[in-house]
Amino acid sequence: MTRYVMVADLRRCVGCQTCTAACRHANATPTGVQWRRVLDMETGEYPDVRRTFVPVGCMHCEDPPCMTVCPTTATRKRDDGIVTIDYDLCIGCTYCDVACPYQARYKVDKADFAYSDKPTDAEEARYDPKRLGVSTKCDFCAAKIDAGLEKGLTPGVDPEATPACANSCIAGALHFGDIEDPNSNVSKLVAENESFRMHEELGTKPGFYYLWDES
Amino acid sequence: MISIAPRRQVTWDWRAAGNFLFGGAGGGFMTLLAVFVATDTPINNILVLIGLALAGLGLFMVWLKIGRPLRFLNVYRNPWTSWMSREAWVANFLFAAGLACLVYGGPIAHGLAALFGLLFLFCQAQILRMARGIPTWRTGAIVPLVLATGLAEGAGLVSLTALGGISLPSWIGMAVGGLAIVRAATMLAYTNALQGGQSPDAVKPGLKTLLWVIVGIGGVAPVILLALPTSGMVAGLVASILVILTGWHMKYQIVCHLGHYQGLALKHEPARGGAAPGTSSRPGWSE
Amino acid sequence: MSKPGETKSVATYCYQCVAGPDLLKVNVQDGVAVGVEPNFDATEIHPGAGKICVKAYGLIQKTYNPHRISTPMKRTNPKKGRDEDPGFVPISWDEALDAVAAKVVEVMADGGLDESGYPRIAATFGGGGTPQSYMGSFPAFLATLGPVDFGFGGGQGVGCTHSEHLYGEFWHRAFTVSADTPTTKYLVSFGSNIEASGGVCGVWRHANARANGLKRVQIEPAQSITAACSAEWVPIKPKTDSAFMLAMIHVLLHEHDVGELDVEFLKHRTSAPYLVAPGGYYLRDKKTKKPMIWDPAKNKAVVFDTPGVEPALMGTYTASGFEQGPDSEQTLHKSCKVITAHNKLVDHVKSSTPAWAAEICDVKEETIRRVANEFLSHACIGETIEIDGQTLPYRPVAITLGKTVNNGWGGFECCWGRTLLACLVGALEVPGGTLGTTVRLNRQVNDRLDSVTPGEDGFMSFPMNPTDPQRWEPKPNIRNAYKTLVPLSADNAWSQALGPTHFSWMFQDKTPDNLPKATSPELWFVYRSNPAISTWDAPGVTDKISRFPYIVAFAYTMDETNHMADILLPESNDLESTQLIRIGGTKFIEQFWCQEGYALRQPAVKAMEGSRDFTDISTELAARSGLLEAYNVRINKGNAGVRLFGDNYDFSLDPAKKHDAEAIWDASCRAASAELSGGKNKDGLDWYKEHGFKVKPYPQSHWYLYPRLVEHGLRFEMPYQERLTRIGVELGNRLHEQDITWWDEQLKEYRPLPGWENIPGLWEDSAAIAKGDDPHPFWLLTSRSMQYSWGSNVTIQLMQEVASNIAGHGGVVINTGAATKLGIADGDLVEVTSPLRSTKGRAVLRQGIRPDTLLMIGQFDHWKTPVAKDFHVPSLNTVTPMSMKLTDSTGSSADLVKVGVTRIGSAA
Repeated sequence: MTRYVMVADLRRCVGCQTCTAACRHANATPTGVQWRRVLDMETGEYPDVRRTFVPVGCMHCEDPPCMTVCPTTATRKRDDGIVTIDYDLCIGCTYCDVACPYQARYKVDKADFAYSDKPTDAEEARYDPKRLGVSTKCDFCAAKIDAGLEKGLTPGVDPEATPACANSCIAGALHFGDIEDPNSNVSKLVAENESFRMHEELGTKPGFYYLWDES
Repeated sequence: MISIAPRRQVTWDWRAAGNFLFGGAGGGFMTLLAVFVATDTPINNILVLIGLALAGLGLFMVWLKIGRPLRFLNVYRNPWTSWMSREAWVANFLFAAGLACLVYGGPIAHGLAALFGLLFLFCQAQILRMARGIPTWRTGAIVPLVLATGLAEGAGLVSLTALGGISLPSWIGMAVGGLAIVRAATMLAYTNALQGGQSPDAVKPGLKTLLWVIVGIGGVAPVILLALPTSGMVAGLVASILVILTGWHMKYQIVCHLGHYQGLALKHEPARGGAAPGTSSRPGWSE
Repeated sequence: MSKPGETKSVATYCYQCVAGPDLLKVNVQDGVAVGVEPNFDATEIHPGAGKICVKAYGLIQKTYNPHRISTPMKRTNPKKGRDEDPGFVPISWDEALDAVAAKVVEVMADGGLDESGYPRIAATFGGGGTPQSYMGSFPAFLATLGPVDFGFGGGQGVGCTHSEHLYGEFWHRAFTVSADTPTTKYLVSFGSNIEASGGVCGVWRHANARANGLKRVQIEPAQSITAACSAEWVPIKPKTDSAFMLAMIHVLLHEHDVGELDVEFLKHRTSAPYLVAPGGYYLRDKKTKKPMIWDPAKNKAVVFDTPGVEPALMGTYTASGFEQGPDSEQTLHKSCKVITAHNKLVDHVKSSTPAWAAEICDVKEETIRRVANEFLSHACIGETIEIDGQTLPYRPVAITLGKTVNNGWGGFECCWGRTLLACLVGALEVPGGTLGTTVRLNRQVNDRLDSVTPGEDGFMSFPMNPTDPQRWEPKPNIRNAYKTLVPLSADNAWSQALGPTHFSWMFQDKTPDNLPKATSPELWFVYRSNPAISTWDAPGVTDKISRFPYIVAFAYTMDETNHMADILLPESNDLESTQLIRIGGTKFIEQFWCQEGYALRQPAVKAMEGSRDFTDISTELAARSGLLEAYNVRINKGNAGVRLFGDNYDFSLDPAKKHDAEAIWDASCRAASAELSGGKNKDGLDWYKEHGFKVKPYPQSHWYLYPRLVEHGLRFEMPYQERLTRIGVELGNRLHEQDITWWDEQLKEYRPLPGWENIPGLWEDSAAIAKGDDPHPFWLLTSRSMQYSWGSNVTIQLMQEVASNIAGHGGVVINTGAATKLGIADGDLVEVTSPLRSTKGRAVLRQGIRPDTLLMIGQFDHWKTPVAKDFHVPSLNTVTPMSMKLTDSTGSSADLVKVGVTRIGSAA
């Protein structure tokens, strides 16, 4: 079996938002729709203050609450663990939005462009009316993974088969791969470091690991 | 800036709340109609229509909200796991039973309508219960609360039918009062369930206010009105209206104002360059 | 160009910020650029694994931005000013180019100098030299114009790491300074916001270094992104960093035995053993005029380069010789008491204890002592490492300085302290230590190692502007008077922009006594620079720009500066035009390559209609100004980036002919290929279009200056600043001869051993503080933003969108406790007022900032630039004055101003 996951090394992330921008490009998401984004979290009180940068987005849960509640079966989980949305089925009820503990979903009802109501040439070239009025979210660049696999490439190793955010990361913080393969980069990272998954107590079994220390 | 601490969800707005307000009251009304009103009077047909209209109004409001209204039929595709699909199916059965009441009448049709009304209510409760992103919705305590308020509102609405000259059993007042008390109890259980680390800080004041509204204005006040020795029809009607409006207020508040997301949190702050790691961090949650 | 239905990936470079260049690919679909991604072909050769930073992702919107100026325009309203409508009307390229060429011919007449002796032509480019990677062959055109004043700062001097540029180059060929990040294990960073301003290479190298055990201590008033990623954040009072460093020096010299330091390094690679005579200058040998050291074996003073001597590091001795003072003044000593420079230093820092510094810096004494001790204990003194087969010292400790620490008053002390601390443990210019990145004042520019030539007294040579009576120039060649006032700024094209560039603006209103009146340039070119926003006293500068009679702006969108222009020329921009640039070697901020070569920028898409390739614009301007032949000769000589001929190749262009951009860059590509291959390879433009770049190996050992110093038997000029002291006195003499006394405070900075000066006091209104009613109790600072810095990209929606995910963008950061005391809540509208004026914005409440400090990230307060003018974000530049009093001897000041803050409205 294969289960694709993302690993974010919190020790490395600098919050530069390059992954956010790369995701916006790769997925041609509309203004403000950031399937991948990086939080700037401050904790403590002066002068004992910590600031942590935390990449978030769809966690591709093993038990995705969004999928359970979806009345249309638009949200599905693939055999490789990637949670997808069929934009032709979704009715835009946003039940998945309130079911997701990670605020990973977006719904845009009206075409919105960077500079005005009119798209730029680049926006027009990538404009997809299917995405209006439905829930959208990160799909780990599933189409790219599939195309890469067809060429015999390895997701997480070969850029051509790897999600744009992991490809773009300038801190070497984001890693993608198959957690079921004990020899994959992500399995090794998780094995060799202390890690946690967000809101594990909610039973979602997220496919997004955060590294925070050496093990 | 991205909100890290729990923030109010805005995707389910007043239109979504409308489903819980009117659909819930409609479901409760259909259930209690069979209990309190003789099933074979012509006037009863009007009441059935009113009940169905309430449920229909709720669903219509949801339809107004969805992003792709023309695809609404897709809502039926996932009765296996989605309570929203189930609600849609049950709504069909409720309407069918209601139609049967109108066409055939009789206790079986009315019994079925009552059953599907109750089921409809249950689906609504489960819809909220399964929204795992919203701490104030996902608690198990929301199920009895939604059921109790639907029934209390239903009883209140039935009691209001007296205005139309419908004869109701004498214990309707007791039923309204009793359900209001039951609802207050479920509200107390609900707010208890959300104490401490079970809900974010931002919703706690709102929950407290809501508890007083449901226990005081929606519970104690109607019971006093109904229990006063001088109580007449007016007091009963006022009590019913209080029960209905406080229920609607509560559902609107829970959906639109107290529906805060889980927020984002760190179990461990990272070790940076040889320094020790930090503790856990859960902005917006003091416990 | 793409054909319909075609999808392709086009290799190019991004050099929007000084931390570049980085290599990328543009995805083009049906002729439309739809996305960018790293150039993975460069993974193995680029120090940042071939990645690109967030700014590069803005290039798509930059290309298709509807606010672009799409045709040449001319001004119809002769009145200029913020409130004047320029009345721009579209004109043809022919009309525009003819107009500019006519102006060029007009102002070049009579040698191109005006009545004050200043160039009639001026040019300003922003972003630390990055516009040059987008202006094609324009530098060749500029080179034909005769004198040009490049000294009107667009931000340099005020916003750069200025003292570091000058002193860094002086002491170790370090125009900017970097840790040897991949190897270092302990880094003390005084406000160097490397994670935001170090680009891809900085972030990549530091993330790897942290994983490899680097401990970084970040010392700064506001917790930057870099502090967030560091092992420790030490919130220090602004502008007291030099006291912290003096205390570190004290700990090393007074709380440790001298044997714990790198004695070998101090004795042989620094001037620590040089003997200082009673007059404060080195004791010199009468015959050779060389400085002397004490030979304990022979118990006498000998010249510093006497073979085989193990000189004394400490001690007071009696010896004879002479002192070389200023202006050929010599003092003979038959027998005098001399002391080693190191001993002088030890005495000098005796009272600079951690307890003393703790009070000044508002940092705990034990923290200062611990950092000093950790610095020493991590230095691995005595250990070595193999690099490229050479055995080099291994000293994995470094110190870096950030903006505001290393510019303006106090910058000298901090640069000195940093360099000295490295010397004490032998960690300067060796693996793991503190390194220079590149040279800009010294030559040869392409490899700083080649710039190392022996100079006086056993030190490296330095192209100091002369201060002797014969050669000092009382009459400045340009308006900022860099050559007259700043000997360290040297004298080349970069020097003009590294002088006191704000003087060019300041003196417009009132030129100080006994300098020729600073005139307005009669023709001003401006490109990728917006001084009306990016300099201090931005509204004041705006007013001065409005007085310039003729401005030619290469313009992307309207902005606050080109609002005053006479001609707007829209060039085909980043993804639309062609240029070949040098990559690799070592370069700021953290570009340390093991390769060197060239990368091509090429049109990924058809250029916007109405725009023209900058190279074609330059050629046309040259031709229409009658300068074609000179322009072509300049291109052949390498002014467009590559010299077109070499020992065994010649791709020179025919000087008499007009060549289009393709021909010019094809010749450049061929010359680059030949240069890299010793003449064997001649790949041209087509090859580069397909492959994007061509490199050859560059040895890692070239990252370090130390081996070259050993090779030449040279020393670092540390700790004692004898030469600078002498130059300072000479400069003072020259200025006083001209009755110039307004530079006297600056002259005090020339001294042999820097100590603590009350630097914050320069900014403080001590009278108001004494009375207890200080209207400006806060220090206002700025900080770089990775999303914006140097990028000229405030009109890019995507940048604003992603930048807003990082705290502080969009307002003024204030300590939560301090804000609460003032009744200010998060998001409230506040007014921040300096003695100059006020700026308004939203309060951003954070714990990670000192309670006496405010922070405004980036440079905003736009009123004309599309998109940005709707940000309503406050800017430090609006409230910071330009002031002689706050200008240091290198001609810079710091991004710092005292302010008060008041709540004026509630959260939106």
